Amino acid sequence: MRSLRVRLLVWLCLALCTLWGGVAAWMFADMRHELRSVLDDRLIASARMVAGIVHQFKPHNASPEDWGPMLNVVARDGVACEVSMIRSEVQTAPAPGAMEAAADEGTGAATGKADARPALIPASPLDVPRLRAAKTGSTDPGGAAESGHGAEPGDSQVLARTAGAPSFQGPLPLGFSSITKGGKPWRTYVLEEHGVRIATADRIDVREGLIHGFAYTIILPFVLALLASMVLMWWGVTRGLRPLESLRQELSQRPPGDDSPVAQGRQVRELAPLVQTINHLLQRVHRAIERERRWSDDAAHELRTPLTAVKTHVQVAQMAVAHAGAQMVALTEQPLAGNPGIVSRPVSQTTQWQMTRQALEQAGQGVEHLQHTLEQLLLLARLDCHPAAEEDCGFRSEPACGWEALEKARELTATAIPSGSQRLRWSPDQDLEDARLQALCVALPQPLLVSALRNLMENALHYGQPADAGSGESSVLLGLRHVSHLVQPDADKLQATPANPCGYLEFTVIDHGPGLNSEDCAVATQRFWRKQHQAHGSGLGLAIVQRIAQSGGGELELLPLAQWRQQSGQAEPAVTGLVARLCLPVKPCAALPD
Amino acid sequence: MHVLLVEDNALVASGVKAGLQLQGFGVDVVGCASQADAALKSSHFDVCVLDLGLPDEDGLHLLARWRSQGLALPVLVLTARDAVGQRIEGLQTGADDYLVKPFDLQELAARLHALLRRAAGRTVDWIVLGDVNVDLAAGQAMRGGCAVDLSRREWALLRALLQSPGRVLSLEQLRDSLYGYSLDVESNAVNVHVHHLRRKLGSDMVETVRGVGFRLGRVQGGGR
Repeated sequence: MRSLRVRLLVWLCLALCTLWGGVAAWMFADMRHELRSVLDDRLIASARMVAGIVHQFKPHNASPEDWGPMLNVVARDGVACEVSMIRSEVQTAPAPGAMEAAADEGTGAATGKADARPALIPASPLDVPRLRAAKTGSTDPGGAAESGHGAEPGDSQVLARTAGAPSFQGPLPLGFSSITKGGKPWRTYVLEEHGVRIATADRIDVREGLIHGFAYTIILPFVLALLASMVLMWWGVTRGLRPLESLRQELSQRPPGDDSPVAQGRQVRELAPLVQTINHLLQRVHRAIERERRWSDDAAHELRTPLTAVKTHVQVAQMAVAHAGAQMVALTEQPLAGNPGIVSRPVSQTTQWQMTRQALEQAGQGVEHLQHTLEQLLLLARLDCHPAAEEDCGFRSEPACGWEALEKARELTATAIPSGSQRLRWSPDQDLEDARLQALCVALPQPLLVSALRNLMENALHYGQPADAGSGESSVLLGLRHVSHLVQPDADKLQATPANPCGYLEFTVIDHGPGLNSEDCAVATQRFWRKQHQAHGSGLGLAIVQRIAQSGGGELELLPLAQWRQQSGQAEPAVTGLVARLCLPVKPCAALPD
Repeated sequence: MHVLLVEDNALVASGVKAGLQLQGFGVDVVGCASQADAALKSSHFDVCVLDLGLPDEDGLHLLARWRSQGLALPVLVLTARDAVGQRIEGLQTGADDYLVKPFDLQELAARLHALLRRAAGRTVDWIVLGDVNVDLAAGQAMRGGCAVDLSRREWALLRALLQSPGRVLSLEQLRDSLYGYSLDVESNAVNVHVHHLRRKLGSDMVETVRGVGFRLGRVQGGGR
């Protein structure tokens, strides 16, 4: 079963994560771009700073000890730096003096001799290609771009390098590039100025580590905020759905048959239409039940009244005939008492009296049968409009004790059917001393349970006479046991029936008559079904038992005795008879008596 | 024993009346609530059998009205409606017993006897008056160990007197118990039956209260 709250929360979280995830990705990309720009700017600034220092420093006069403090300025910021002399410049000034002259030339360009060689004095790193182009005698910027990378291998001489930095000699282009040195990726920036080539570099993994560090710094609070938002959303959704929860509780706590209007949720705009619809439905159900109830009451009145008239008059006639018969017998016996004046009544008159008495007796039996059928029909009609029947039958009273109901049904059946007291017996394997079993109750009112069991017993007594009454077994065996599952012959049915945690009470009524085959068992609970139409009964008894079983959450099962024995492991194919099993869930409160 | 039967269905009414008469009851039948009111004002009854489905007034409503007026007459409600709620409502309204149609006439008679017995403050239907033993349920009277043959009217007279021990019953009350209000009865008919009863059970069985009526005689041994 899906939870509306969970569903709502999932959608809210998905929306929130999508929205804030997009924002976070955007922020991360922007931050990474900015950070890379800043780090690149730092490489440029470092290279320029070194270039400025080198220009003032006269690199060809410097000893290795002098280079140390100079490059430490950039090295302490974590930037690797390499300073090298461009070979061609060195060649134009082969001697240290020439180197100095070249340096002076550059300085002169910067200090006012620009007019003499303006193209050789780059103002910025971007001008370096122009400088190279001027040196090779070409003015085509495109050509400069094509040959825009630095000196060829062997073109330069390394003057100094920061500690731990790899050699950046090689085909490094001017400006930015990425290379791998010593198995590690580097981001490099190469600047050529005043005849000196300066390469500054950062390790890319360090840069990425820095970026990831920033990202974690941003993502962690975001994730924590998202989790906190989910908790807040859970609380908010729970609080917001409280009217719905109240409505659910009110509906779930209603006793069966309560059709009073629903009170919860009327003030909530979203719930009001639903509550209104439920209340309208309840009103319609209430009216329908009342209509059914009135109908069954009126039908009871209209059918019972003429039946009462017929029955009463038949009884009056029987009493009158019995009285007349007594007088006739008295008159017949008078001559024997010594009165020779009065002779006995003619035989034909006695025969007529007997015929009248027999006719009235049969009419009385017909009336009894009609009354029985009528009562069964009325009970069935009441069971069909369930809540009314529950009330009428005392359904809201205490649950019925299975054992007591069985005893009472046995007693009533034995009273109604004279042979019942001899034929109704306990099953041989029935434990009559099991106090725990005898205390178990089912969720049905006792009158209904007794009525169901009586129907089964009367059926067994009426139809359970063996074909050969002389040799067959005519007893009807009763049994009661506690089972854990509602075992059904149909596997689908079994799966569809949820198991009762307290188990089931299984009532069995077994007869040894001709029984029913499997096909008949399947249809025997249909209303007005009878195996033989001249047979006793109205065909409603088993339908009533099944309806009662359903109203108590149980099942009625009919199966041939041979099949029952086979299931019990007592293969006896020749045996005939019918087994009626009525399984009802045990009432939880009385499930485990001491 | 005078029974007022309030039943609107003529077929049922005639059957119940005949059946009760065969069992020694005197029965008057009315078909509606207004006739029942009139019958109670004009005649004396020992018990009432009331059907609930009356044409002019609901039977339970009529019963509640009777009880509010202080009528103590035992009432057995007869109805075709057998729901538990309706039965409870009937008993709470003031009914003394409840019988659902269709019923057995013997059962109806037995219940009426039980109502009358309770109304008279007795616990059993067996009464001993001196040397006379009366079994009201079986309709038998014995005097000195011998069965006494009583006619239907004599039985009705004896029942009426036994029903009100110590109370004086007027001639009209006894006439109602014996014949009901619808029959034309000879003026000295009750006196004739009193005479016959004294002859069969003893002269001190019925005591005459001059100018008022008759009552059960103070027979030695008393009843129980």
